[in-house]
Amino acid sequence: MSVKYHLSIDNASIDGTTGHHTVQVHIEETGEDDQVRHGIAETYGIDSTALHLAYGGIETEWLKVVATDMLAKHKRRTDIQQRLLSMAGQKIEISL
Amino acid sequence: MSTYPSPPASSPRGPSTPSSTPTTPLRQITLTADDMKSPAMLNSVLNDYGQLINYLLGHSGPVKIVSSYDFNGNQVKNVGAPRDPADVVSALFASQTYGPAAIRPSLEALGKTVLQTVRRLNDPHQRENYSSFLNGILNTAPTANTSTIIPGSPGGGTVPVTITAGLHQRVDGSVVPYSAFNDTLTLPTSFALTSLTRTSGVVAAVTSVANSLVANQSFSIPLGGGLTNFSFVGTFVVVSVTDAFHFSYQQLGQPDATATGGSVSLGGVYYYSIGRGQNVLSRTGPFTSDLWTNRVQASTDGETLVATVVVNSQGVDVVNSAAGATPPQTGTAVPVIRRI
Repeated sequence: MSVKYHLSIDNASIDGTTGHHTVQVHIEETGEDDQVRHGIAETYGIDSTALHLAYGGIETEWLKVVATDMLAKHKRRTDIQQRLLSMAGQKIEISL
Repeated sequence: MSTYPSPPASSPRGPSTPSSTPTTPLRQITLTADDMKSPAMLNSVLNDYGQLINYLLGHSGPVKIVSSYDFNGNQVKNVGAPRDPADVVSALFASQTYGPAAIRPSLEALGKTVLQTVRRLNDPHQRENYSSFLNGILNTAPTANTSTIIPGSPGGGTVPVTITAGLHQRVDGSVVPYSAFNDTLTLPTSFALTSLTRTSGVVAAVTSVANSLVANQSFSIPLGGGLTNFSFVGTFVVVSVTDAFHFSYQQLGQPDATATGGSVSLGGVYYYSIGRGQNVLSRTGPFTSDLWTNRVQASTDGETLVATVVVNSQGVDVVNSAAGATPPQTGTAVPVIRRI
């Protein structure tokens, strides 16, 4: 059973004046042990005009890009954190 | 011979009250022995004094004095309740009408938490310095955060931009973390330029298509777009409009020059702020220009600017965009007031 990733949409809002859409999202990683790990949340925004220009007005196309971007960040953060954790107890020599 | 005038007929019932206020003081009189032989003279004198006394006692109405009374530090006792605006009041009346107990109901009508005293703002012992109370009403400097701006590449009429996650320091020294904001912005309207001619600090501009510029409107001339002289790059304000293709503006501090190509971009200015009690940023905009009035509009009480992003037809204007940790830039093309 491989690791699964989901984009969790925690909150979605729209500015009543400008029509600017925002979503707060994070990555949910479900490991082989079925444990769920939550990634760092970020906000993504797009106004109505940009959504139309860039994604033909289709919000799911935009969310695909959001998901891809968030997954890349999550994997990068996870890899870095794992390497840092593996260094626990190590001493790094400082040469002056 | 007496020095007193002839006595009037006296009333057998004694002195009466005068019908009008005496306007002249009584004269000194000296009676002679002959005057004393006539009771009429003495009666007249006594009658005059009687009338004056009755007047002073108020029997003929309010007593009007022609000078002031000096009570020599003594009391004026038993004063009645005032009826007219110039009437004096007694201590009891003042206490019952204006004292703390009398005005307390009016103060408490505003609520039990009304400030009961005064606060001297210039008193260092009473000044709010580090209270968390200030966090809710003051906007800390936009530079009090650790974010930077990461612009993306424009395409398809849009440009992505990221305000990195960071920490915002509040007035009381506390630190609030917030997550990154990844935005997709629409590239603003632009008009292709035919020529730019700068003479004595005034630039005459000609667009190849009809533009919508009006006087006092902000615009920018970005790099690229075939602009042949980069000294014309910057953000400016329209001074005058001749017609739909010709307008002029000021650009001081540059030598006379000409250029072709390039474009006029109507800026999209966006402000990203953090609100009280929030850990996420919110966006305000687009504004046509980065003015202090627009910044004030975007940062009401409890809302602090974290980043300013200016977009032109070429993408994110990195010169005029900044967050708290954006490195400073130097150069005459950078208007310092526009830096966050």
